[in-house]
Amino acid sequence: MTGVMLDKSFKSGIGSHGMIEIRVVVLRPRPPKGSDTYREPSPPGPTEEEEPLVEPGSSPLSAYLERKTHGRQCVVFLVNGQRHDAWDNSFVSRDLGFKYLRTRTMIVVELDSLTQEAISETVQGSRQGLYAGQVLGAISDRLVATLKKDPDLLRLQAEAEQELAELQAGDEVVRKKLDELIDAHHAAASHVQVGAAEPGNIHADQTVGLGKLKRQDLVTEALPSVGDPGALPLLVASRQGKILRLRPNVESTLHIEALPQTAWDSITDIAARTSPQLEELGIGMARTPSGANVVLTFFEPKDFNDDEYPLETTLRVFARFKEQTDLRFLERDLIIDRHHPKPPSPKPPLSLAPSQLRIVSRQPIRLVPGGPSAHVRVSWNGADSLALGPSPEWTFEAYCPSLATFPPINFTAPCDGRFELLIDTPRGLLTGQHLEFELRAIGPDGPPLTASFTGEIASPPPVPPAPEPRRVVRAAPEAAGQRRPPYDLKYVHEQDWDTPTCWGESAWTQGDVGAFSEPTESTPLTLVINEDAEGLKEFREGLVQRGLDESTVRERVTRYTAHIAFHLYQMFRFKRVCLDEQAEDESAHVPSDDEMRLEIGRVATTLLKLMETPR
Amino acid sequence: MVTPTEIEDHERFFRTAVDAASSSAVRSVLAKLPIVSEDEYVFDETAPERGWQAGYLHWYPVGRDRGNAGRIKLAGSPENPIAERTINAMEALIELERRRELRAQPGTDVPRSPREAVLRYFDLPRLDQLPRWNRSIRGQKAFDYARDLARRIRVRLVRSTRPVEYGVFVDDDGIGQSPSRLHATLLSLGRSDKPDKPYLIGIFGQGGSSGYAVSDYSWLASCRAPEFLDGDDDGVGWTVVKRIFPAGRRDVYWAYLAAHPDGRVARLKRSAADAVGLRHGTRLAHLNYNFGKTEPAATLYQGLNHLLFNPVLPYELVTGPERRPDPMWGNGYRLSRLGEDKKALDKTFGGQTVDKRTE
Repeated sequence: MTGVMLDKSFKSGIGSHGMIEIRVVVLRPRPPKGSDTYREPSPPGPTEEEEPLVEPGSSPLSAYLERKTHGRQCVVFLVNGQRHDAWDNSFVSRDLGFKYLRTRTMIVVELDSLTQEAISETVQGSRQGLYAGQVLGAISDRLVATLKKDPDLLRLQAEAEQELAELQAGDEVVRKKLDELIDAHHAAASHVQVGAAEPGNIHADQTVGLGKLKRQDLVTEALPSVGDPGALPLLVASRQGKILRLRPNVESTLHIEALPQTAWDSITDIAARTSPQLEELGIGMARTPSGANVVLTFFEPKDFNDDEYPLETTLRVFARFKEQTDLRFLERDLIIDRHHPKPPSPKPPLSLAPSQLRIVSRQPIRLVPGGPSAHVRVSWNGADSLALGPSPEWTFEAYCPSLATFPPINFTAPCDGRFELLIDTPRGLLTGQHLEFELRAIGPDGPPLTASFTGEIASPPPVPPAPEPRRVVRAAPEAAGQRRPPYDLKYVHEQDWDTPTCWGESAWTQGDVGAFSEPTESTPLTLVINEDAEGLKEFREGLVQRGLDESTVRERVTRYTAHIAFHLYQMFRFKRVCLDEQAEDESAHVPSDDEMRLEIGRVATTLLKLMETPR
Repeated sequence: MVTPTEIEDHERFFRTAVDAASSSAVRSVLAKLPIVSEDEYVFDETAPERGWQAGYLHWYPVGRDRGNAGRIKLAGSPENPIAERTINAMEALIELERRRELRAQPGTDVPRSPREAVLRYFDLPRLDQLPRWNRSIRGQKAFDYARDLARRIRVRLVRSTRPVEYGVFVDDDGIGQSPSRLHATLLSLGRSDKPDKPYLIGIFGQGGSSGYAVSDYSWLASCRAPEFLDGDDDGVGWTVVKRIFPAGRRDVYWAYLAAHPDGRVARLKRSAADAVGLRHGTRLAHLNYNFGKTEPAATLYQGLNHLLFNPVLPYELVTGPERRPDPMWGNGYRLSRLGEDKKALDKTFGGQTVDKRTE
């Protein structure tokens, strides 16, 4: 049974064109087989099993698209419930930036409340698509503005990235082979793109690194009160927090870049160290096109005593830039502890005669004039259905007695007794000013339920100060060696097939030999190899049955894996070229995930056949 | 003065006619009727009676327009015409209730939208809210009530063999049309009476006609609810629609069998409708439906649920004799009820107003 991770709707005005309602539903990847997940009774209606048999598609959303294999129409535009247009998941991936959610996100846009003029401009008699004019452009802008920074979507995207990061890392032999293939490829070909798509210009065979600790002058990003003034460049990390939390046996990545970014190419040595040293903590470093990923894994010994958690240490990354005498470094505190998932909280008992209304959000509510809507969480003990529909039995209203001209306050639909107020604070209010708000739930009989809360006008969050280089004295290391692959290599095994990492966030099958995940701001290009793909499994078993030497078996599997990874790498580069072409010519074809899935499958078959053929 | 052509032995004929599930079956029905061939009678918009032969049925352009292909060939995918017909069926149900309301309480305000009409006449919430609707409706559990309602619109896929072809049937228990109005409503193009009825869904008055273009033959029969005849003849109107390739011309068009030069279709007595259990509403079939390479029994459920994503009314779909009718709620409902046990978040942002965007 497929689960829903996110299902929320927005009703947004788009200026003079009227209003639209947006619902976004994000499905969970299928749970691992045999997992003991919490399950509630299903609501009335047919169970999924009673629905007509729908062939399992490649993603949890497959059963909700027009065609499970061809339809990617996951952004639908409805008029009176009828679909009039649909966009594919490139909108989710490219326009919204949620690459890892693209195959399990459905966005439903209801156009019923558009003005008559807007409807007449966009809606076509054929129902085959909306007219791509000003109104549709405004709708698109509104969708992006509403969803691009949605905290829930951002959270789910980060979780999906984490899923990918937690796959088993590829072994060093295969990485080495793949590096050779990539280097040979680049020696014979010009770079197709600079920046994030490319591995940078430090060659994989270049050795860099640092060695013994020695007290010396270092430059780091710090407050002006620390040390003496320093100079750019600096090392900076993608994660802003001072603390990095690790789970045992789970890989975590910290992305490092140079400031300014262009200085990255002038790095000659880079190394990561921890203090105090933890024997069980593995530290790796992988180059990405614009920086490096420090990969951290705490390998928990079998007899490890849980009482030792949490473990704490400090990670420092040092780098030497050309023509800079002082090393640069950055520092993060590491806390290693077990993950204790919070059990789902029981649903509160809800009544058809509600008697409680409560503000849940901490007060005072922070109100930013002209900023994004402030969300005020509220709970009540009324059944959701009391406040649903166009003529609900219960309605909510909120107002600001402190300021009669305060704009109308809107609400989300209640869900399990919880809902939110959305407060749009007008410009022109004084920072620090307190405003009182009243919330009323009005039912058919009796006095209304009331609750009040306080808001405080806050100034917009200050623009983070520009990183300032500061010179400090610390113990820092000297020279060693480090390989710098422009990618990350991961393996997936059968027990992990349900992880949503196949071509973005689909589950794996025995027919999937590999996939890649495009680099994001915080993750490099990730090549994922299915170690238990049917063809590879049979190939391995065949080699063993033939009584071949263990090293021969290993060598052939390595060759296969490296070549599959190399082909994935090339597919990624090819896709980038296609996307560039498409940016200039809309008719240019960009290979879809399904096409790439089939391509890598064919390549694997050919490779395996080739290796089975006697020389 | 031309008198409308009559069909003999109404009841027996109608039983056979509504059983026609393949193009060959329709041809058999047509073979028994007095029909002037499409080459003999050439419709002239200014003088449709020219060349008319009394006592015969004639092929008459849908929408009284020989250039109707551009307004009929609008289907981009096989499911689209079926969705359009289903929408028409929903409107027929709503219109029936609206007329009942007006008869009981003349002057009652018009519902401002189809959803408002559905709530007013059927007490039915939006279907995507139904999984959370824990109140009963008209003494029934909400789901059971809605499931009963779905039986009033039936979409059926019928597979014929030798040769293999599919027929799509859409039946509704809506208000129906009287025989003398069928040509001006279901067989018209762009002559919609909906624009002044905000509670109906269609606007352009031609969406349902796209089904003609994707099938060899279509037949339709409609019977008006007796209490809303408004002075029209009672009985059931019946006709067949097919594509005409005019000799020596390349402007293909679609035509139906008309019984009178003004476009009226053949009228059968109400007893004929009673004989097949048609009290009021419309039955129509698109035969030898062109589904392309898709296997409709496997794809129709999913395709229709996507096209009618959150329909104002539920309906039934029958995809084969071995499968009982599937209630169709749309993907909005399916997503709402899906995996509630694993929902991380489910919220609806209602009524946010945004000022006009400035560049």
